[in-house]
Amino acid sequence: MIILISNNIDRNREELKNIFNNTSDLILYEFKTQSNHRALVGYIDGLIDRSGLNDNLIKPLIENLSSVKDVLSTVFIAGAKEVSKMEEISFPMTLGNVVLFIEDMERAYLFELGFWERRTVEESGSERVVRGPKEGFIEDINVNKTLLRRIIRNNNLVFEDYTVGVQTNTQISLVYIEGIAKQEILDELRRRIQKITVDGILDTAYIERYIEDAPRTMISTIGHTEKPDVAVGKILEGRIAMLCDGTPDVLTVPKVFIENLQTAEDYYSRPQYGIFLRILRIFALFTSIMLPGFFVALKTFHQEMIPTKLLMSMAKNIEGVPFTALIEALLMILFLELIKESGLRIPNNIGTAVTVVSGLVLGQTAVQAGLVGPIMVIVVATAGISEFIIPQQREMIVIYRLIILLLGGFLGLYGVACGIIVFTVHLVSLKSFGVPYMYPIAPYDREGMKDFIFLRSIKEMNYRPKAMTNNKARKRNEKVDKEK
Amino acid sequence: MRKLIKKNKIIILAYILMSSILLTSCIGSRELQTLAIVTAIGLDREGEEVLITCEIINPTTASSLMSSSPTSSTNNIVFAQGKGRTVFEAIRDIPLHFDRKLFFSHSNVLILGEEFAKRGITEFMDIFLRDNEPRENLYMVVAKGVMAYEIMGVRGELSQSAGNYIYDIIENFKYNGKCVEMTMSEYYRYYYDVSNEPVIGVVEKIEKKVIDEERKKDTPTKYILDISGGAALKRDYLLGYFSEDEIFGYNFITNGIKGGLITFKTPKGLTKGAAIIGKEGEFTSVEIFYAKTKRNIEITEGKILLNIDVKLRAGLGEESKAVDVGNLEVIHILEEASSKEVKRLISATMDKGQKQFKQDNFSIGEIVHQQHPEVWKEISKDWNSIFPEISYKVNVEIDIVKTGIINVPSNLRKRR
Repeated sequence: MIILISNNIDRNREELKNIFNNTSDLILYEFKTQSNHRALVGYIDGLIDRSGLNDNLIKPLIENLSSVKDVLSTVFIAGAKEVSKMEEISFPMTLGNVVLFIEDMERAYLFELGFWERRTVEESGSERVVRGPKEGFIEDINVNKTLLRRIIRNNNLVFEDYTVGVQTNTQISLVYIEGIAKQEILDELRRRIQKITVDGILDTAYIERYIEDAPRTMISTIGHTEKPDVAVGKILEGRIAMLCDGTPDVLTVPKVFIENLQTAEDYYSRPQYGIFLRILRIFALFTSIMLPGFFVALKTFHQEMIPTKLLMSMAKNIEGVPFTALIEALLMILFLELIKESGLRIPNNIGTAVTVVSGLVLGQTAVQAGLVGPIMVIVVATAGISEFIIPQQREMIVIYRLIILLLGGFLGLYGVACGIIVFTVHLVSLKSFGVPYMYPIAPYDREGMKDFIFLRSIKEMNYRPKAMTNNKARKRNEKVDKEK
Repeated sequence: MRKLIKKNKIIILAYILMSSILLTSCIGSRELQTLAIVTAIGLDREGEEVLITCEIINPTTASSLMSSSPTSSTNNIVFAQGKGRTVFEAIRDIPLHFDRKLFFSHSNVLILGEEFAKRGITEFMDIFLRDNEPRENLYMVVAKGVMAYEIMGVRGELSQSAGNYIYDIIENFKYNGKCVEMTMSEYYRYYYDVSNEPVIGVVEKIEKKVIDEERKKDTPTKYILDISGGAALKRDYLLGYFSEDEIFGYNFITNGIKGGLITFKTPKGLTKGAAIIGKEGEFTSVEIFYAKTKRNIEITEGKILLNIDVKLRAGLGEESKAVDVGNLEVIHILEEASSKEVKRLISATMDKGQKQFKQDNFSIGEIVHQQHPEVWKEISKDWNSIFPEISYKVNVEIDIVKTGIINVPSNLRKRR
């Protein structure tokens, strides 16, 4: 049923109240204009700029409005819209619009006066850098758009808005550069977004669940970042970013494996150091997944592979330990995960207690009490530390570590090898929006390899990754060239 | 083929997985706490039975990391002995009176008692190849003059056990070249060859003066091990020993030198220009950096001539009196003198092999086989009777490329 706006203000007021179910934060204010018409202003408390409302809307109307037809020329507000149906009012009002009804008019005006408390733009907590831009995205989508636009000052940067979520009506926005982003990927992404049916979006992770290629795998096939410079770097390579209102996490698609090991700082430091860091991260990835399983396999199945002197000291160290190596490792991993989780949840002011206790439990006492051997502590701690080097795949690492550990504990190195093979096959079989996950190794791309482990300087990266974009030449603006 | 693979993808995959699961040998886990890690094995004969002595790491002593008491090193190891008609039986005899299952993968040394070696070793070596635990690269040494277990009680000054001790001093091979670095797998390489008679390492227990005054009170004498020399086997039983110098020559002949010192008398009366103040009994040491031996067989009128070409790169290590190394002529003379010494070492060894042992310990038959296969066919059967008759020629080329960081010895620089 369509409810039209009536010329009777009282009816409009009742209708509006009815639409918003008498919510307490709906503010209605009635006054008389210069022309002696009754006017009703309605807005949602906390979403608008009140002084702007007073100075630019109410004041001019009271003082200057001579005829009801002159409303738009009287007020000092840029974004104004005329509507004639009640339905069209409610959603804009939740975005911070002010509605104005005037007596004898069968129309209402919507003015964009949105303003609310938001977190200031500050350094992103999860992706900190020493060199390079520090600012991070915040929860407000408009600010995030500004952050991107401020870096890419280009008329080809496109924001494409969607509203998702039956209850929350969350705004999401695709960001790409027209002419660089691949049309096929863009179409596919639009298609997938339109298929989302969900009651509410609280974080981009919800969107991720709906649009990812392989929802059952632990490996994330959609990138996320909190830093505008990282997002822009990806947009410039032809990827598409996805902003979502209410979260500082921005998604980027498509994602390939190596993005897990990339950080913004790789490109800001010298390529040699970048190479070192990439190798370190590869090492960390392997260590954090394989090390406990590998060690347990060696310790229970292949003692001959451990160097003699190490084995001798190991034998002495674990003489009093009553558990098998597998139990020992599981115990340590349990400790580690408990400490990680409690450290994350604990209020700051009692955090030190946890640090002290956990340090003691993990470090010395467990060994002295004869629960685990000291080398197992080193192994698990190393795996635990390495995990934080690859934050994008932390969830996957924790689960795969356990799988490899169980394989190693029950089947020895054979099990570990099987695990690696299955893992590799799985990685190679993944795709993200049509782009093979292991690009640029499989399929091999010489240009793409410049941003793989053996990183080249930004000066030498002349082409965008082939799989992401059809517009390969990086240092040329084809649209502008054509216009010339 | 491609069609076939596509069709039977699952079957092929299942086949690969199943076969790899069923054919793998890594089954049966053993916790480290249940293992007795053997670091050295000794084999002896007692009557008709084999006596095996295992040196086992004692894990119950405090770990080396945490120990603060100096006594911990004394019970670092324990020994277990077993007897049987076969080695395996002897090994399985041990768990009857020893607490844990033996684990042989970390034993690096196999010590053979002299008597055991004299009665033939191969019949008891089978298990070391057949079983999956023992390493193939364990060093084989003969206990000179004693039983194997007598050697095993000796531990070095720094090493934790005799096994480690012998292993470490054999690994020192590159500093002297005066011992034999023979692993089990290499032993078999020599053993299988018709012409070869293997030479394996020797270990000897010798008494050592205790220097430390503090320790002298408790232990007036101490034994140490010496591995210089080598044991020549005939087929698989002990024939005799090569001395320290002879084994140096042996290593030159068999291209086994990785380093070492050539010490010789400083040649007297160097040419006029070369300044030298040498007396009788002055010595020079030259350190070998690189050595390569090439051996060639020449057959003329049925006579076999062995050419041994040794190429050495060396540095002047020590000069006990005085030569002027700034003078190139002096260096040439030193080179000549050192090559003479190497020639002497080689011929001494060859003489011992030809005249005393009367067998080919130097795998020369192999070279004949490689270079003159048609001749070898005829003579291979009685090679050991031909070998003592062959003549040989030694040619040593030595380059002294370094003279150290001083030019002139101090006693030459001193003004009289």
